[in-house]
Amino acid sequence: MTGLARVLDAMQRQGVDVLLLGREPNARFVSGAARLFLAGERAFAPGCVVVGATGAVHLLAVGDAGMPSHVPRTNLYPISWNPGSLMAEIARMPSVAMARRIGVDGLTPLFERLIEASFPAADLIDGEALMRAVRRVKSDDEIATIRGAVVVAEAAMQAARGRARAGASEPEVVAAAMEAMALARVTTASFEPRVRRVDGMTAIDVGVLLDGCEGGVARTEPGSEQPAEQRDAIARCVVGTPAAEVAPTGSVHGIGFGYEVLESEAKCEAGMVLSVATGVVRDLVLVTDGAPDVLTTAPYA
Amino acid sequence: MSAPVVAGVRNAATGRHSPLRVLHSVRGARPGMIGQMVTVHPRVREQMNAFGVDVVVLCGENNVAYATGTIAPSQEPGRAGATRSVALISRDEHVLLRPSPLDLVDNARELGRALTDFPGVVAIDEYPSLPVRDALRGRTPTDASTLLARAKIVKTGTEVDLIRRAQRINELAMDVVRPLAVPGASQCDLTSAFFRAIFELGATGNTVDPVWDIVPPELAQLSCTLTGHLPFPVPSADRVLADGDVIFNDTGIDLQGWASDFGRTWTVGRAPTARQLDQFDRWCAVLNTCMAAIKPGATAADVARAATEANRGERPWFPHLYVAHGLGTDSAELPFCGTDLGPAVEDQIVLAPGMVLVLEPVIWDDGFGGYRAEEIVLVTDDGCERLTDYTYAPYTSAPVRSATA
Repeated sequence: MTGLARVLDAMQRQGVDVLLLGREPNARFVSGAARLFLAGERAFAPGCVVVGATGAVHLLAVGDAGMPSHVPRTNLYPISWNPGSLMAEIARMPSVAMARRIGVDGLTPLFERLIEASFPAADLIDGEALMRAVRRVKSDDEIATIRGAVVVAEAAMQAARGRARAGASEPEVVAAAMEAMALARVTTASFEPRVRRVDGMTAIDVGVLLDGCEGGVARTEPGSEQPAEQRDAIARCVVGTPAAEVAPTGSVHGIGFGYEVLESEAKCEAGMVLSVATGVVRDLVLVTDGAPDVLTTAPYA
Repeated sequence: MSAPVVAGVRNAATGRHSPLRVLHSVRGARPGMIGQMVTVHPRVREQMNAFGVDVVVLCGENNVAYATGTIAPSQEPGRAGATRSVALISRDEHVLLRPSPLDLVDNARELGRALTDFPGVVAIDEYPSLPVRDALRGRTPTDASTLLARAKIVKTGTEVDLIRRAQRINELAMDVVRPLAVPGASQCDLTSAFFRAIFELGATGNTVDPVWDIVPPELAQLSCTLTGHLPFPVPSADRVLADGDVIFNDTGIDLQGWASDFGRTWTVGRAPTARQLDQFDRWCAVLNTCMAAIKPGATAADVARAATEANRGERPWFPHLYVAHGLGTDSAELPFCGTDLGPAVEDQIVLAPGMVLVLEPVIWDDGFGGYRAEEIVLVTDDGCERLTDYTYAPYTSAPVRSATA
């Protein structure tokens, strides 16, 4: 099932008529649209609209570059600096005016007022909770793209370690990783390389976005064998383990179209991809019905 | 300095994991007293008084950076949202929090409880999630975005200096990239060189996927436009440059929370034609007319009017954007000149010393392409001065200032 089909299914089950999405990773998940990447979080503004009754996705756009072929051009809507005009444009989309339950993945005081004024009878629903649940388990296509992103992240890691080995400064190591990422034809970092000196080593953490999906890895230079703590944490990535118990002293979160938040009570499910970090190393792990599938392959040593 | 009085900390004292990590808390402290600790920007407190707001809740990373000096790393939106800092600012106290992800109801409620230590009228810049809106609903927050925009619109000397330094790094990096923009090179090749250069030169972050748009000579060659003009910018697609291509570039970096903004037009493999040089001359005329209009007391709409007049009545900018925008902790912020908000709204923004504007006129001759570049100016006591200091090569070999003298 495509991302859109999974989202429409969840909307139907939860009785959500319209989703107004401001978060770019949600828009990309549901539509496949590749819009210009801007770093950082931004205040909510509806850049993507999903309509349950028509099954349509509408996207804010200036042209069709990066827009998926399955979204007809009539479903692209133009930029306005007037939020009122933007809401009026959305209210005119087929079957939107009758919406009674509207999901949003963020809000501002201004858009809260505008949505209430445009849809006085509608209730606002937590659309991010819906998206989070749909995005948690990955499709085969997503897993393939994440694997591709890991290859790019590991190329960046190799370049960074090489530069660190040659005695480069921290900014030079960051520069080497970013340069290598772009030479691998990826120009979007999920975060810019974190490089710091720890106990005589250089600790390096990289993350990249390939076609919207994240790959990442953390290692040290000089390296050493896989720490037992990391090995044990990875081994716990099996169906049923509470996510909070995978790496109690480290850090665990979901990976997919970028960083994904896990509920505090979340348990490992087959198809989830986890970022598992202990100490100064980090790996991406796919939970399967059997043993954990470690997506990262970069050597520790 | 006082002990933090926040719900999350009380819970930590009981041994339970706290979803709210207090990065620091200051009560009644003056900037000079707190050393490394961030202070609240005095312009934020000025505007709180002006708007009659007792407590400001800041969740937007560029607002937190402006108000407290706490800089978020450059990262994709999901990670940035999940790892954000939140500032609670009253008139004599502030707390900077690193909450667990505010998408989750329990964490949003914890933020609501933290706010109970801050009585009075609340304004918020954005709700990170609907659970945060619900958790703060009892306080009926007003919109802090106008208050913040009014504070941010005028820069201090230190802030102007950071913008100037950010721009210098951006420009030096473009010196590295420019010779590489030759037939056969790909857009990713240019980006790769740009990334290496900015980080070696000391950039804190890259803020936009670098734009090297290959511009068609006529709009009819486009498969689609929603603006009636050139769709710009478009996402990177790793196209290979060919002899005779015209590139509109647009890049931006972050230096300690402050943004640069760079734009030029380059021809690939050949010198500009007479027609292209004429486009550049007309662009210079628009730029000079706008710069002559920019002075204290002029309005944002005056800048757009000057640009239109200099281009014989036709608006020389992309209709979905503007002829000028402000620059600060956001790469585009108030004032905006020439948006679809219209002159009635933009006439209410009066220019004042310390405002920073990025002028980005576009000259377009359909069938023959066009010229676009960006020029940052600082509003001074009696006019404006350039912060951009970069050549227009290959359209001129002269240094920047004589090119438009």
